[in-house]
Formats: sequence, structure tokens, C-alpha cells
Amino acid sequence: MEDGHGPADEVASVNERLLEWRQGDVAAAGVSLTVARTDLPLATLSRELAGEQAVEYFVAEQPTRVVLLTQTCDVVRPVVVGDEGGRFWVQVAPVVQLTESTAALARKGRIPRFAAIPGGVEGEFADLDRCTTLEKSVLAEMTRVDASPDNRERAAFGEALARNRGRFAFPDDLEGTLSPFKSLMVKRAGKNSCEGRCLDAVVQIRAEPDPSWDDEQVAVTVYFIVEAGQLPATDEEAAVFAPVDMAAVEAMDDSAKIAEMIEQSSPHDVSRRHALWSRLADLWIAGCTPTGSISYLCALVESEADFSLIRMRVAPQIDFDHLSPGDDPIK
Amino acid sequence: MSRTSTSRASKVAISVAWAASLYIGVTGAPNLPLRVAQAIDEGRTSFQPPSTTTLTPDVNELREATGLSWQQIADAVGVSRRSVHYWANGGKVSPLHQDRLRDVASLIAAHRGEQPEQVRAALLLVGPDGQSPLSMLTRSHRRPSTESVTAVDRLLSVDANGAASDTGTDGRSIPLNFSPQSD
Repeated sequence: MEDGHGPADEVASVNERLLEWRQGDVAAAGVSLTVARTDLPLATLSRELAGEQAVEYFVAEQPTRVVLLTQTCDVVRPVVVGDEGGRFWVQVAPVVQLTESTAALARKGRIPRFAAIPGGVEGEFADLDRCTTLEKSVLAEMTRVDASPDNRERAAFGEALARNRGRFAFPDDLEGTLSPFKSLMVKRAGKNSCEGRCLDAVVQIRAEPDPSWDDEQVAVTVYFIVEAGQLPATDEEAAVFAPVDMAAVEAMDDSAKIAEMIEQSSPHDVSRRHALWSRLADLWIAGCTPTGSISYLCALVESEADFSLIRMRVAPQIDFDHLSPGDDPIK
Repeated sequence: MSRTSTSRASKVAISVAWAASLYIGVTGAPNLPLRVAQAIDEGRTSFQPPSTTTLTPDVNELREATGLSWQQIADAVGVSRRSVHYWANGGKVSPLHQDRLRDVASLIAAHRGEQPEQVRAALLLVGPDGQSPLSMLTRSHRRPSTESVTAVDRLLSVDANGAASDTGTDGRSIPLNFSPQSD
């Protein structure tokens, strides 16, 4: 064991190979494991394999490319032989190819189940519903695909992982109320149209309760937080701008036309752009009828340059998971 | 009990008279909610849902009467300064935010006839509890949801040992045995 070829040396080799791995890296030939019940297999793969089993539970194994989820510092932390408190494990998730509309929403972080892979191919995401734990020695044997050096993409990937576990569980009544709006978003997201591009310019969608989600009657403000630049900056004192015919804007009910007008308007026309964006947001939620504890719904457009941490804390981000049970988002 | 009731009734009457002057489009008897004052009186931290009154608070006049900055009004209402600017230019104010503007109007009802700088000073005057009337109103719109990064932190910081399991790599399915281990 001490002759240079024993486990200690092999572990040292594992530690050395892990030094090149970073969170978000893809392994070309990995594996996704799922524990299933033999008498009640749920997923397609489990159902196919269940018949072969003579035991109560089994592991369905699917060879696939996988993405490394474990934070880089924990990946490269050396394994020490005999250290029972050591960090021997990493987690991976399978790479999946999403349908176009799902990918468009997932890219914007609106479907927490899927995380965009740093430098990944268009439409490829990590399926965070199916994480697998591997010992580090298994990962060390896998071939690492050249990954994106873009730290912004890596940071976004880390945020997607955090959001997957930490997202807020909105009341069912809000999910029901917003269902028409979410369906609308899925249909129009990622489309090469004025409205599709306006949707792409929405960085986040958040919902704030008044007074709180626990109350019997809750008024909800839906925030559409748009990219900085969509709404021109305003000065503290210069609050009065070029007049806008607000009544005319309010009378418009064609969201595609309004989106076109937004694109055609001057980026410096503060009042007009805000009025058009506000009307567009109103129309996006117009099909929603408050139900149950949700007594009222309104939309507010804010710039990402203005939206404060305070507001972020009171207004959790809305996601678009669990929209259409019959539709498979994965190709 | 009766003294308290009388005092509150008087305060409401004064508030209605003064604060009503800050509204435009009055179509009926003023129906100011005074949600914050009532909630504080009753020791509550939650207010009523938006009222359906047709009164529309005038943001410009509210600012002139209080001497508050746009940002201070925005903070009190719980929106960005950009949104308050939008309202000041005639943009539609939702009933929810109309209610919040009414809350601000209610705060200044006791300062009728005072100069804007005096009203502003009163709104920003810090009391023994370290709070000013305006900051109390602002805080009422800042209660965080239960969404918290700490939940993720807690998950990620736990270095628990996983239960033992049988795994293998030679095939597409691996039987498992979950029977308790004997020491």
C-alpha cells in the first residue's frame, strides 16, 4: 500500500485530475441514476426496467452526458484517505435538449427545473430534477468537455442552482390566477416578433403581496422588471416630461401593436415608453381573474436599474414550472 | 374606552377634511382608508385590501404639500421613483397604489396649514422608538416573504453523511436492498 501504487497514490491521482473541473463543466460520458419502486415505476425508463426486477426497489441507470453541479471549491477539495468526515462526493445532472419555447423561458431563468449550461449548445440544459451523487473517483474518470471561460455564464448557472432549491412556494390561488398569463408567456416567448423581443427584454417577473401571502384577501402586484435602457433614466427633480396621451394608450388593446410601438419609440422618450410598457404589462395579465385568496391583481413595470433589494425580498420571482402536465418540455 | 373612541373619531374627521384637498376627481363623500393609523392603533401589521373608491391621489400636490422628494414618496409607497414620475405625468395608478398614496396623505392630515418644510420635518421626525412616521409607513411595505437565500445556505452547509446504498455500473438497472444494516 505504500509502494507508490496503492490507494493513497490513486487517490492523489484523483485529487490531481479533479483540479481541472469546475461547476458547470460537462462530462462527455456520464450517468444518471434514479431509484424507483418495482411495483410503481413512474418515469418511462423506470417503467421499461421495472419488469426485470425481483426486488422492491431498483436503480434505473441512464448513460448520458452530465453537468457538474457541485461548487468548484468543493470539487477540488482533496479527498484524504481515511478521513471519514471528508468530502468524497459530487453531484451531477443529465444534459437535456429542450423544446424551443421551453428553452426560451429557461434561458431567462423562468423555469427553475432547467439551468442553462455555461457555454452549452443552444437548447441544452441541466435537468435539476434528476441529480445524481457520484464519488469523486468516478468523476475523475470521466472526460471533461471544454467548458465556457465566461464567468458570467458560470455565475448565472450557480444562481440557477440556488433558485432551483430556494424558490418561493406561492399560494395555489396565485398559481391559478396567473395560469392564463403563464400560458400566454409560453406561447410568445422566444418568438422573433416585437412582442417576443419585448418579452425577452423582461429580466424578471416578480409578485408582491399586500398585505401578505398568508392573509385571506391578498392584493398582488406583478412586477415586470425590464432591462436597463428599456425605460430611460429619470432625474430626481425633472419629473415632468413630454406629455403623452395616456387615454389613447390606455385604449389600445393589441399587445403586438404596442410592442411594435415600443421598439419604434425613442429610447429617450421617458413618458411614452413607460406608458407603452405599462399598457403592455396590463394586457399581459388582462386574462387573469383573481381567484380564492387573491382579491386583486395589477402590473407594474420597473427597470432593473431601479429595482431594489428591499423590493426583491418582498416580491419573490415567479417561475413557469408545472405549466402543462401533458406537454414534455424535453425533446 | 369612550375617551379613546372620541379621540380617534376627531382625528379621522380632521384627516378627512385636510387630506381630501389633495385629491382630484372627487365624485362622492371622501372615504379615506387611514389603514396605517388604524392598524397601528390596533397593533396590527396588516392592512385592508385596496379600496374601490374613485378618489385619485394627486402625486404632484402630495409632493408640494409635504416637501418630500420623489424618492421619499416612492419609498413610502413601495415603488421606484420612476413609477412615481410616471404617475406624476398622468400615468394610471392602480387601486393598490392609490391606497398607499392615501396612506401618505393620511399621515399629513394633522399638519394642515403648515409649510411643506414643516410637514416634511414632522414626517421625518424620529420618535423615541427610532422611527419616523414616514419610515413606519415605508417599513410596512417591506416585510419580506419567506423566500430566503438562507434556506439554500442551510441546505448547502449541511455536511450530512448519506445512508449506505448499493450501486453499480455494469448494466442499466441495479437492484437495491434497503434492509437495515446490522452493526
